[in-house]
Amino acid sequence: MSRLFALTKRELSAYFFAPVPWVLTFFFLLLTWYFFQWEMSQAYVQVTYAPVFMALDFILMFLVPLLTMNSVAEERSRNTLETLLTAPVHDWQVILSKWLGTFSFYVTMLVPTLVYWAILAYLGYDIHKPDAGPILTAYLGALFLGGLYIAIGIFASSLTENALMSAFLAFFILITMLSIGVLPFMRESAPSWMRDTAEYLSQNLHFAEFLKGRIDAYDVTYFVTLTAFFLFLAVRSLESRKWR
Amino acid sequence: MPAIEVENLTKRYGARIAVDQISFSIEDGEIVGFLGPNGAGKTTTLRMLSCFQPATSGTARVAGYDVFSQSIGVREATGYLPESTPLYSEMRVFKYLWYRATLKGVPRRNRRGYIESAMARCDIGDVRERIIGHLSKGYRQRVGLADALVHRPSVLILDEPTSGLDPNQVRDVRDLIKEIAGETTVLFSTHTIPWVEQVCERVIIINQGRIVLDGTLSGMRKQIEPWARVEFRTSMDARPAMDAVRSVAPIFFVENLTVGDRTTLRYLTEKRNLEATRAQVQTVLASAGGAVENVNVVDAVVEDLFTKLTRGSEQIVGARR
Ligand SMILES: Nc1ncnc2c1ncn2[C@@H]1O[C@H](COP(=O)(O)OP(=O)(O)OP(=O)(O)O)[C@@H](O)[C@H]1O
Ligand SMILES: [Mg+2]
Repeated sequence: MSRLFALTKRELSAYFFAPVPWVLTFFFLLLTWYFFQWEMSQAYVQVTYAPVFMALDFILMFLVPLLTMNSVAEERSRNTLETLLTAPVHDWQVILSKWLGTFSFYVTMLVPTLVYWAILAYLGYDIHKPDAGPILTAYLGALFLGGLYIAIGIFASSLTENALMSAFLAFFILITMLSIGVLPFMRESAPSWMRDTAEYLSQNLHFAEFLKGRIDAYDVTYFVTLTAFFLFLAVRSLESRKWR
Repeated sequence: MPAIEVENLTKRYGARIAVDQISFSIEDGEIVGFLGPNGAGKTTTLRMLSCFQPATSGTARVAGYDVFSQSIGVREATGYLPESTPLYSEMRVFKYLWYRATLKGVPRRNRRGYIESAMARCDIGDVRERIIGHLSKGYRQRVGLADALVHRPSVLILDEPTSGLDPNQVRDVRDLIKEIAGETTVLFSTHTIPWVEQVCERVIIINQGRIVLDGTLSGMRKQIEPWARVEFRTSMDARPAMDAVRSVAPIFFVENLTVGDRTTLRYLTEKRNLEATRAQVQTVLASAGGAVENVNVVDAVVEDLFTKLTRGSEQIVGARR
């Protein structure tokens, strides 16, 4: 336990002391702010800030690969993988700590967006109170979504020692998953089992449920399973050094 | 029970065999120098012993644990310094060692004490708050060593611990290894015999993936007693002169020692045929249009045995020193 904690702490501090994650945080907040103020400028009354979240699966598709690209690839390229993996730690601890560290940083990226809630409350006075339910489930969905993206990013990073290559790979996986859910031919002409599978595998429909204020075991299972699956692949890819 | 026990250990990279069925055994508390030229298979062997890479076939046990099936046990008992001394360059020295000690399972109450004594041993106390990436190569090497030592392992595996160090620091590492002798088993790789001679008795020499010698320095000294080094000058160019000398059968190898414009060569041969060999050398050089001058005969040194064993048939040597 103390090992997993030490690994995670180092991971997180690597994010805190590098410039790139903060640049990404800046862009993240800029983009969410853009969607938030766009919504505020509409004529109707707002009780949530759903557009911010609706754009999230798209925004994170660019941001998360850039956040995770170094996680394993850099250890490989500067050989620290050799000291890391010859310490008495399990491969799964290494991968899990990378996920936990990145996820914690992602949470710190999300925290400032709570300001939008405060703004909403302030603008609505006592008449239009923000609807806490859908906002909270949206945040929960954002955590699941980010967790999945990070697992995919770490998996991609574990495959190569080239950080940009790993970012591109993660982006490719994410955009593939996103598109199978929205491609029209998948919706109409394809056989129903294929359509169902595509819709199940794609993240956006599951995520959309959270934005509607619903927490369904079906969607939670989707995120948890797929996140675990990609982390499992990352562990295997770390182990694969043994067969080369 | 031996601290390290290797049996028919083999590593292939595709069709290339990097380590070819090596076997050796190292007793508790022994210090062993692992020697070989570039590409001999030293790093590959040490990586298998430290559980970074598995063997293609064969077995190895370290501190009583099997490197494949009980790798966590091996890793707890072993301190390993990889060849390139990889470190997190953005971390500070003390923080880094704290992190490493935690990973290696040093209990919290002992951690500070263990780190302090590792830092004292490696003489890095004065850089404890410095960022690793800002340190000189020598200091980084010593931080790597401190990391290898920090959990007080019973076996130390060091891959070229003195690379990149200045002569004073090389001496410090030598003293450090001698200091931990007895309590710890040490297997270290290096290219230089003279350094090994100052540190330990036992030597394993590997060449092209195979062990060509496993013995003691005194045994090696015995082996070189009947050999002699013959050094001479000639007006010829180095390359044709070397080719000529090489054609003389009883010569083990020729080295080019030329500094400046006067060709100086040295060859190794047996003392018992010394006169005949020298005459032959004179003849082949004469027929190539050169003369042998300033001949100087001395006893062979241990390094000559290393050169003889690892050079094989290639005998390609450039100017040295
Ligand atoms: N990952 C790899 N893939 C393919 N071949 C490799 C790999 N690692 C090492 N080799 C080959 O295995 C052989 C042994 O290499 P190794 O690094 O063990 O030598 P070494 O004795 O440590 O050399 P040096 O003194 O230069 O450090 C070399 O021929 C090398 O090219
Ligand atoms: Mg090496």
